[in-house]
Amino acid sequence: MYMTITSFQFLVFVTTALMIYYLVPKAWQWVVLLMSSLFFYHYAASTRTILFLIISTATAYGSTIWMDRIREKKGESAKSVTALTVTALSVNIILWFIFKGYEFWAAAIKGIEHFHSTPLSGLLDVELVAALGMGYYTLQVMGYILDCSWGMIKPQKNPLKLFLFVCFFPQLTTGPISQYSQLETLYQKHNIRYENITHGAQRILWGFLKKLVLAERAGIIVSGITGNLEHYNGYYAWIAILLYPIQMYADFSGCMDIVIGVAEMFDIRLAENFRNPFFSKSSQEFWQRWHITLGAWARNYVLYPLMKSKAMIGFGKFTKKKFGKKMGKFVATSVSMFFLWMVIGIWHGGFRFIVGVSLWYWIILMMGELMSPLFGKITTKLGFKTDSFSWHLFQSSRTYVIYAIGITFFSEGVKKGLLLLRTATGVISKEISNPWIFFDGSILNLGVTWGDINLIIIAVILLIIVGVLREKYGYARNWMDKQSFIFRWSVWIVLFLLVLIYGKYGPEYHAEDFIYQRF
Amino acid sequence: MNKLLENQKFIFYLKRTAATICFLAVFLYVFTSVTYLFRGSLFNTFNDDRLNIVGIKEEEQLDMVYIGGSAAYCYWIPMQAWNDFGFTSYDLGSTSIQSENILYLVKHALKYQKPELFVIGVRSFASYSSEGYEAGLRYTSDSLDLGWDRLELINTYYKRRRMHENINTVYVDIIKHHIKYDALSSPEAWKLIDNSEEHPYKGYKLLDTHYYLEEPERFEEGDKSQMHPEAEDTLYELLDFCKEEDLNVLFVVSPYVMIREEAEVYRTMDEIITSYGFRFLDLNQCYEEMELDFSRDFADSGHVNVLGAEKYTKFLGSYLVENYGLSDHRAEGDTGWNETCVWFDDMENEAKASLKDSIASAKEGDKIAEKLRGIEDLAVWSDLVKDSRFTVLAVGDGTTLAEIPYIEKKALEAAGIANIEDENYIRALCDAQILYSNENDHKTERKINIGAKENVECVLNNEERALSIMIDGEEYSRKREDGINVVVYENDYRYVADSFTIQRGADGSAELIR
Repeated sequence: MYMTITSFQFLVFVTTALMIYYLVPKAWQWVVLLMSSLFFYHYAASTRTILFLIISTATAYGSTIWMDRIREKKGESAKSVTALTVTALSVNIILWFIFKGYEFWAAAIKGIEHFHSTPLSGLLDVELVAALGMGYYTLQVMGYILDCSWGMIKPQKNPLKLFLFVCFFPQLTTGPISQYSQLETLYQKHNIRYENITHGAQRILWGFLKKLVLAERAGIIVSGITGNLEHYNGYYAWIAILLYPIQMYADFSGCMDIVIGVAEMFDIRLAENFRNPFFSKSSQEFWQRWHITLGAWARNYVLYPLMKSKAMIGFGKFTKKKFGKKMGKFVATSVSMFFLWMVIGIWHGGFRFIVGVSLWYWIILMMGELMSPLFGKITTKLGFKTDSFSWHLFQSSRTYVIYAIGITFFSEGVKKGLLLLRTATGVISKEISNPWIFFDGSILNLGVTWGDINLIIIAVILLIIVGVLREKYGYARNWMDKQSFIFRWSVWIVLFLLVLIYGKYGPEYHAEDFIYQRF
Repeated sequence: MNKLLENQKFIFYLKRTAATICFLAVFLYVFTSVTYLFRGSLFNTFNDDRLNIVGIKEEEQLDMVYIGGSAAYCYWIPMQAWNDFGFTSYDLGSTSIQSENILYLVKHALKYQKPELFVIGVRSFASYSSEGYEAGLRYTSDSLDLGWDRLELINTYYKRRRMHENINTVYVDIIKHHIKYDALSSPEAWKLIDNSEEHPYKGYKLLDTHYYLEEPERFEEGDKSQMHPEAEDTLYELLDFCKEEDLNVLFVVSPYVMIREEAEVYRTMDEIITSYGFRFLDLNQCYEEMELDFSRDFADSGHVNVLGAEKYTKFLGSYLVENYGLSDHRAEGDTGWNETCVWFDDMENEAKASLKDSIASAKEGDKIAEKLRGIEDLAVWSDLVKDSRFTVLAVGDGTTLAEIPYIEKKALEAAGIANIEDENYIRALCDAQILYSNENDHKTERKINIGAKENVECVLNNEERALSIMIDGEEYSRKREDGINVVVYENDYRYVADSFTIQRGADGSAELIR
């Protein structure tokens, strides 16, 4: 039995865990969470890989307790604390690199001359099974070690409680990447609250709708096109390019909704990972709204320490002297940002992510920074009303297209991504241009029906409505809670029916894993 | 003040609890209704099975409920029982019924009826297989109301067959059926949204096809053999329940072509059932009394057609009246049964007429087959075999006939033997229509099913000049290399009517060599 968070088994498991959680004495609630997490891990992943979580927890626990003792004996500035921190971080990075950075090291050793004739050549054939959520919990553990090392938090004395922080089941699938201070609530006592249960259930339902109704349908169209680019060219390529961000968003944020909803039912607040990213006016804003916890982690543990480092401060002084105050600052920021984006790209574990995320966005953001005065002047000269809805729409569309192009490399790899983009730009030639596909039903050859296309449109409209409500009221549910019960009940029942009837699940259909589950 | 606050708090929680309960009730109602709606398209057809199981809810007081699989609802005609004996009855069952299902159908019937008698068909106990058959379970479970009995049936079935796969999709069957969107546009499915709808024929399924059978061996005397242990447990469970509930039950085996092993198991079952004080009736021992004619009364080897069902109902009905004293209600005024019977009679008569025509047609085919064996003229032969009652099978080297006269080629083409100039010629034809031709795939061996029910296995082989035509494991080809070997198979009575080779004679014309 393979349990995914959209499976029937998962719902039964969560219901059972919830009942036990609220029935046991409150002091035991964290134990129920730990047991539930182990149970989930057993059914959702290869059980033996839990060893990696144990190793990560052990290094974090051992190193931070040791740090604490050193500090007590030698004071805050003990150098051995740094050495210990570096060692503990290295163990986690190496573990992650072996299993998730396969693409990098395999490419590196393949490049070694005569490697295939050495006894190490068998390394490439070894089947590596990573732990579930390795990319996510590794960052959490590293963040915990650094927080302890910097004296921002006190180390957790109970190794089992620390283990719960690492393996808390809702966040094992696709995060969010939580800071220890955010998850200390795991060990507290929790009362059953009506709002937690109802809001959590509503959030789960919304997540199911995004994943099973929207993402899976969009995925059929996108993979149908990208899997056969010789046949599906011209405007088909544009459909794939522009639909994939919706699929990605519905998939990833749908998963987050389920995860956050489940945690909420246990009275645990997980950090939000999305805040209407497609409403962003710029790419910079986009990354403040998209995969928020990864961005926050990279800023807190990579960018800020880097910028505060002696080397970077020295480099900043040097660039200001060399290029002037404004340009010098820009060059120094660009270098720091480059490191930030590279860390984000490398975390995804492949070259295509470095191109599709790191380089693409580094170039876009730096260009934006550089050209922003010029764009400002052009806009003023042309007399655009920059506080209008249409201007906002233009900005959001531009941000969307930039993301769509970057994500093409992310999903298809550099070579195929370029081919897809070349095919898409080919629509300016009459030979490739095929606008009739929007009208003659040939799009149905991709394995979808008009009903499916209508459902995609309906779901996107729902996403926009909920997005607008979220912008206005903080959460859409804050608005919903104020409505009459007939309206609220009708909305939830209609959403439930949409998922029940039109969700892509069940024995006749194999729903794809969440896209971000692989990291 | 505190008390007032406490009171307000209490009222607030009370309201919230009531609202939650109401919401959950609405939610469950919607969920249940949608589940029933999508069940309508069970197995892609709006099948009779579901109507058969839910239909009993709509019946007024029934005197007898006949439970079983197709061996029950194709045999017992409730309308005829009303006409002939005056008691009300209903066929409650589902296709490929699994023995575990029967107990839960009895429980289902008891929720809505208090019949004087249950008749239970027990063939499924003899054909018990430890391999699970999900569809066999689902035909029943996906028709029952969502509830504990249904859960118990699924659990029992899965546990007994040691199955693990997909149990959640059986519990919550909408997980499987939700993709069958055609239910949304089907009036039949919408009518079943409350899982209740009257069955127009009281559960009976009329079979109007004909399948020729020789009267089978009855295995009147012989050994007993052990039941499958799980089937035995299931039977004991059923008997215990019937005993506890003080039900009046007759266990029956309806007539069919049974095998020795099954007959031996029935003897064991007889012993077990009678030890509980119930009667067991193997109606395979009553062919004469029933006046059952295997050459006319069966739709296939396991089921009677409407002619057989009529005889079966007449025989078993008399037995029931005689032994169980079921009362005659015909004089009690209009109960709705008379009306049902009138229009059922019309349908039944139409079916019987069509069936008789088809039997006559089969007999006619048999006569033509007799004629075929003496025919030398290709054109006459071709004209006769161009008939849905025959399957023409041909293998050989067609190049040897390349030079036969045009008119003879045309005659062969009329029967479907066209484009003969192929050294690995393979064809299977019925009514001059191609069942198989290797013209495109150039295969030299092919297995096909022939006969009126397409249940007879035939292998055509021309691999390395094998020139073989095997039917049911027996060789019928003349196996001559210098021509095309032909076998004519009679579809209704399932025998080889003719076998010969078409060869080029000394004068260059085609000859039929037997």
